[in-house]
Amino acid sequence: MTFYITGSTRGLGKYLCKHFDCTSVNRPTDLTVDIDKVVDLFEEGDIVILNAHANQIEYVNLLKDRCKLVVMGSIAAVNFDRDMPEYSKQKWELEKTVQQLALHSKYPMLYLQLTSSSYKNYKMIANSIQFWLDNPDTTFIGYNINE
Amino acid sequence: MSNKIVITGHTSGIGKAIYDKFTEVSCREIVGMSRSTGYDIEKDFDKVVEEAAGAEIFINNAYRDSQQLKLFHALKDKVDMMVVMGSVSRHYPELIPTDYVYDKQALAEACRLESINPNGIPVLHLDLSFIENTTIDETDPTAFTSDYNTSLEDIVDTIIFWAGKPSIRQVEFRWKLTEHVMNEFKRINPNLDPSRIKI
Repeated sequence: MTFYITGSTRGLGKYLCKHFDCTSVNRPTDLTVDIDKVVDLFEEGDIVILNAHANQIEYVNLLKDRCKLVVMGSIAAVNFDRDMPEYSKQKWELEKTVQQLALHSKYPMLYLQLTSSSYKNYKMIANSIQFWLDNPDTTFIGYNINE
Repeated sequence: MSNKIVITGHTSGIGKAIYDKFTEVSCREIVGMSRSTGYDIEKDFDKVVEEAAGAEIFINNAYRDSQQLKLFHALKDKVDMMVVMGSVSRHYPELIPTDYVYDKQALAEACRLESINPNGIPVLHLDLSFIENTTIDETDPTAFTSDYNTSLEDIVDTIIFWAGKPSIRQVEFRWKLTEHVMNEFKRINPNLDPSRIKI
């Protein structure tokens, strides 16, 4: 079983990559173009953190019965961000997709509804993922806006 | 505030599991409030509020119509932290069109609003799924069972995990739409539109 992460060159992704000793999926692999190539990297039962925003819904659909997934979502899905309407819409669709697919998926999924403050609390996010690994029936963790 | 943890509905199910575990591992005073011990959250509402006020953690577990929501509002400024037992069924009012689901929707929204209130207390809203060892009310035509259940231990562990990281506001547990559950939906809702869900 291998731990993978998409988008790990900086910030939270970089921290989680180190914390969980992940294999990175970064450029030159293009998550929006090399989808088949990326999916082929993973084997049955691997754990994949879908941290990069690119094509998250597509990856969730393709990997739901092959890997355990951690999906980085956003509070923008429910608290609409007028400055980033497309981002909010995509995160809302992502949240609904994970919610629906988790009803049937072979492997557990964790959706993290991040806020701007929780996004910076790398340790707490890592603890949340570790908690899910120990308690895989938790499918959603949402964080407070006010910190 | 005192060092007490108060839990409603502590004599059975998840409430009992939490009460027993906290009594075992916590150095705080654990106070259980249930109908059988003279704390009916409807008839004895004022007494429950009065005695729960000042708690370090109030675990709003017992469900009775809108009483759980009333307790939330009555105590959110009188306790340090609160755990609220919700239900994943709130996401599926079309599948389970019952007052229970609408009550849980209202409860979830109240918790969400508290989480964006700058002066709000830490609240953990748990969207519970089917829970192991739960007996259903045979007289309730809308009650149903699942063959995929969350362990009581997982739920207790989640509360303990949150207590150390109160910046988490919501945790949802997995439920699976198995053939058994699908058949249960059809039983309680004969007019169910199967295109609404896939199995």
